[in-house]
Amino acid sequence: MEAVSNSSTEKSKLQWFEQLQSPLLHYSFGILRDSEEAKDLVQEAFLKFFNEEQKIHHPKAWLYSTTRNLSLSRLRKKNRMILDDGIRQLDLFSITDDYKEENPREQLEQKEKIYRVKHAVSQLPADSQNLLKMKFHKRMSYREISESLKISVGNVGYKLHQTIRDLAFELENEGVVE
Amino acid sequence: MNLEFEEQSNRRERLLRYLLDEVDAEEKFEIEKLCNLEEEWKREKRTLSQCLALIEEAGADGFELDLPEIESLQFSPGEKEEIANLLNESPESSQTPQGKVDPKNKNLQYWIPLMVAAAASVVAYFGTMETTTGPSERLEEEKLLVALDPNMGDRQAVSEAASSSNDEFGSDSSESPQGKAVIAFQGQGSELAAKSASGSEARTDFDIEGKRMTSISALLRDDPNLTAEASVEAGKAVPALGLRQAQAAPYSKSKLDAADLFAPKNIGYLHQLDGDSLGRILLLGNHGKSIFFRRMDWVDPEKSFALGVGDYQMRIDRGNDFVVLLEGSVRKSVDQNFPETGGETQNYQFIVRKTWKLAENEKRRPIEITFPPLD
Repeated sequence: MEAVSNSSTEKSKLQWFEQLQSPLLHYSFGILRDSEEAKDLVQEAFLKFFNEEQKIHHPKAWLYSTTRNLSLSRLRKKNRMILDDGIRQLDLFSITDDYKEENPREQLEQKEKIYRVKHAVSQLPADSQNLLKMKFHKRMSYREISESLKISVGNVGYKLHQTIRDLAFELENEGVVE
Repeated sequence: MNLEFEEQSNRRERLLRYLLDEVDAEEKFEIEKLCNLEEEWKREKRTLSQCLALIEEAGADGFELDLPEIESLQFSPGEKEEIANLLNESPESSQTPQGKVDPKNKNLQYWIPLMVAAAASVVAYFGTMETTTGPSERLEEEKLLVALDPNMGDRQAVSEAASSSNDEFGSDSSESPQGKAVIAFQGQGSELAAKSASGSEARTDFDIEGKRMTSISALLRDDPNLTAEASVEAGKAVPALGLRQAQAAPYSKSKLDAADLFAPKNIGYLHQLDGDSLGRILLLGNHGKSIFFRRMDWVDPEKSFALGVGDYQMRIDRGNDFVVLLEGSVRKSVDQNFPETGGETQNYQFIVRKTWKLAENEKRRPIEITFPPLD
């Protein structure tokens, strides 16, 4: 459905740009905490996308994945520089606190994955977000959710499963999970 | 292919129930057996487990992103233009994989900058509807929408769009320091909507895969059977939310009855508060100050068609009789006469808070609508 082939028109590429530039900017900004750098990287991701000669089956996943890799790479570079200068960094993905631990890279990636899920959830319709919060934050039972939302218990299960399956599909395509 | 998809979908659903601990002992045993015996099941179980673990962890703090407020994390018009230019320079944009110049791309090189220029030149000032300005200023804040003849050449079409919209709305727009303009354009199989927002900021707004109704949906005015796309294809110039065609007759009624909203046809349009159209809605009826409706034109059933709880605007256009705009909050219907689920789509309840009619000069005037009292 969302595949982009070599023969695709510019219009479709611009469509992807229009649809995803803002979410990707926020996503990259969440990792880097620097709006100018986020803009640079998102622009770079789109240029790669425009220039990609291979068929891209899932443009959205491809763009998120590329933006993530570019952002993490930039963040690592920044962190290295900061550490070299002996200055501690305090951003969300700062690895300085954990630097002495065994796998700072894995920790960074794990934090980023959680952030990716949060970002994906933030892009969902409000009612789906609400449902996920009730289930995974407030730890409400299906019955409690059904009473709160005034829908049947079966409907709660159906909607929740659908939302989780969609998220899983997205995360799998992006390589966030294997 | 479908069979494979169904099989995968079924497998995922069963695994999800298993992982969420929603299955009985027998099903649990069966799934564990399948996961031990079949590689696909094992792989899917691993994937879903990882996803659920991430969702659990992300949900621990309510999925809070904890990001500082950024006023406008957006590419500026200049940056967008730069990216569009870079796109023009990219190998794929100027050449086909075989190395031949793609005529469509060649066209694009011309009309992307022209589109930006046209959007800028259409000094349309028609802002969002929820602003606090007085009624006399509201017209200037409404959107401009121009749909063009698809047979027109790209460059000519864009130029004429700019020119005609300036002609039509020049006096208003010249007074407008900021606002929005929408140009819907279709030619040579291409479809483009460019939106210029906040005066200096241009944004291209597309109807991705035809699944999201854009302001083009506001084209649907007098003929409920005419789709937005058909309107554009027919080259009809039509107004966006709050703007009517110039030839429309004045609306003399100063008071309406709720029943007038549902006759002679029961079609309306739903908009976000910023004026973006969410497409057609089927008006099911009313109960007190609540109007019950269902969304129409669900292009892709696989994509969510649900509305979030919140404030929206509704436009009801009865040709020369009246055009009314209603503002209110939307939630899922809990009325027994309009149960939550109405067939394939959801029934919603629109609780009316504000009502206006559009006067002949396109300005909003408050109008009284008599809603029958609740039983």
